[in-house]
Amino acid sequence: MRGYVILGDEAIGIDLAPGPRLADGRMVSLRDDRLTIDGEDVPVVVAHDGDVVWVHLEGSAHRLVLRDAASHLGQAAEGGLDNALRAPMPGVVVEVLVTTGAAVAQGEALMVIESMKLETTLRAAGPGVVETVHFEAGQSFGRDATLITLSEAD
Amino acid sequence: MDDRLPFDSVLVANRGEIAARILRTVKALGLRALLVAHAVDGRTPGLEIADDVRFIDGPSPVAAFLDIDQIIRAAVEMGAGAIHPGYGFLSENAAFARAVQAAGIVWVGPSPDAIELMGDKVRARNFVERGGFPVAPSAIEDDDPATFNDRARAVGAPLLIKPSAGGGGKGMRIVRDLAILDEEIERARSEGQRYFGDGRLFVERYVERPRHIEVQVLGDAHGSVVHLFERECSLQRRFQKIIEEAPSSALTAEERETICEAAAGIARTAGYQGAGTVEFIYGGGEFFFLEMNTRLQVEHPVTEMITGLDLVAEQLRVAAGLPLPFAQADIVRIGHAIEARIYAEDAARDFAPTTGPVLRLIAPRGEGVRFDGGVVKGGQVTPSFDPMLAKLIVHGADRAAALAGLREALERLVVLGVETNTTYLGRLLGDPDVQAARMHTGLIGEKPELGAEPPLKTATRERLVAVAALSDPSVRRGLETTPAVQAAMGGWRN
Repeated sequence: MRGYVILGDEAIGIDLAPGPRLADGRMVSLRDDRLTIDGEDVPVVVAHDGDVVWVHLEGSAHRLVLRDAASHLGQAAEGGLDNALRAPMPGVVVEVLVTTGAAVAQGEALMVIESMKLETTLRAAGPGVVETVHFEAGQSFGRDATLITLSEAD
Repeated sequence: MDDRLPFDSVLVANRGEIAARILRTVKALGLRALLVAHAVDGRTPGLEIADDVRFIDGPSPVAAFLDIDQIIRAAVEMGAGAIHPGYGFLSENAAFARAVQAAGIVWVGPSPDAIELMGDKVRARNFVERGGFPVAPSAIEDDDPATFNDRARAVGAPLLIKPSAGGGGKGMRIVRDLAILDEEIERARSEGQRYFGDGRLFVERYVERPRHIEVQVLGDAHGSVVHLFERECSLQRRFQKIIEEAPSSALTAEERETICEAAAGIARTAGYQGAGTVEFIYGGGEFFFLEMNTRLQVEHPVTEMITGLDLVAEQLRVAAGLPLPFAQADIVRIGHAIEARIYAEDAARDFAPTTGPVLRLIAPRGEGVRFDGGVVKGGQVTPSFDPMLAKLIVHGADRAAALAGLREALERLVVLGVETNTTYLGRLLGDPDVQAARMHTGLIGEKPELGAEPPLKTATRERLVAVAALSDPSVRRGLETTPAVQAAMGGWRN
């Protein structure tokens, strides 16, 4: 069992030993917005928002998510969300172009959404049958929300 | 001259960076700075500067800033002597300008008639064409709605569909394949209807690989109109500018003279008063009138930095009926200025807007560096408003110096809590074509690879993970209290 940091799409295991030290034994410390690893010192700015850690380092900002091992492995096991049409950004549904049970082809328009005054048509990533429409016209949703679930076409 | 202003207070009917920027000049002129605000923004720089504030509300946060009656009521309550609308929202709404004047308050902007003329893209285009200034081939729906699609087809591909009432890129569509023209016309109409309450459209020839050149103009109530040189805003995503600079490297001295004089001529013909921007499409040595924005422009700071003028102060003086304190020959430009718009968005996901709290904000400072911020620590970036957070503007002796200074300033800008486009802007500014000023409005679309974050160096990754772990209180505690073997192996987040 270990902890993880999610950085982009990648989960990186953390090994820190008291001292504190990195797994290979080098000393590491974080004090007054400076990170020191084995005597080498770089400026950082850090902010926490729940499990999310924001770090400004080497001229750019990075978003990391802290996960304990149990919840990380749990999520990975769920997996297989390829049939879900997810919201690329928070917004409002303008129009649902398909109904439950309809067969759709790859690239077929499924839904028109609006976010930040911009209309976007969302299309099917592959062929399938519309299993569930999760949001109706006028409803708002957050980023990454599942908007429509497709099942495999038989 | 300031003491001769016929008002002692100015209400800013706007939010974000532009509200703060206008309020600063209002205070610098010794006037009371008044603001309307919406609670959804949380803490803002405008709230910190304003002497008095009224919170406004509506069916949506945007609706509050479009509510003419509510804003006028707030202005009267606070005893506002003048109203500055900023950009967007009601800034180009003639009915608002008239309502402000009817309430006995000074309107900081051009006459309602000038707003109406330039706000209707079709009328504006015809007006400019009649004046003998260059416009692009087009088809106007209103001329004969029944044949609009056929006439649009006759303009030929590529063409651009635009809402007659629009602006800011909303509802605009490029059509390269005439087979989908009808479908695209319907989509543009739906957007026009929803954003401007007006589904009328027009199409015009789309100039491939065009550059966007615009000219800042300033007119007073005494018939004087000057230009403050051009800006180039060719780096756009989704028809919205993200990098703007002055001067443009595309123009020869002769072309600059021609285009700046054309802009001043258009403003003069319209009897224009106040600050305005005449936008042109430029390509292959030709330029066409695009539109005139009858308000302060987002990118006005680059003009301020090369001319040393304060455009908001000039707007207030013109609104007060004072003559411009300079003639064309008095306006000189020095060096080069570049602005980068800091947006809450994810460049790697086609610039999808992002939201979140502003946990930390550290603005870069230094000579030639200007930061016009619209958020402060403790603020909220919500989907309610446009995702622009701030503008970073750098002035240098020449373009290369300004570019280098801006890239360096972008690295020093710290925004934590919401994803922004700052690293993308850094990569864009480092692109060889941008460095060499070989730009056109489609450049960003042609270089999607710039959207991808480069893989992290091993040392950077290691540092990030160490910072994440060490800044987490439970990890810290664990490391201090558990024996070595257990800490290295055990779950560290409990």
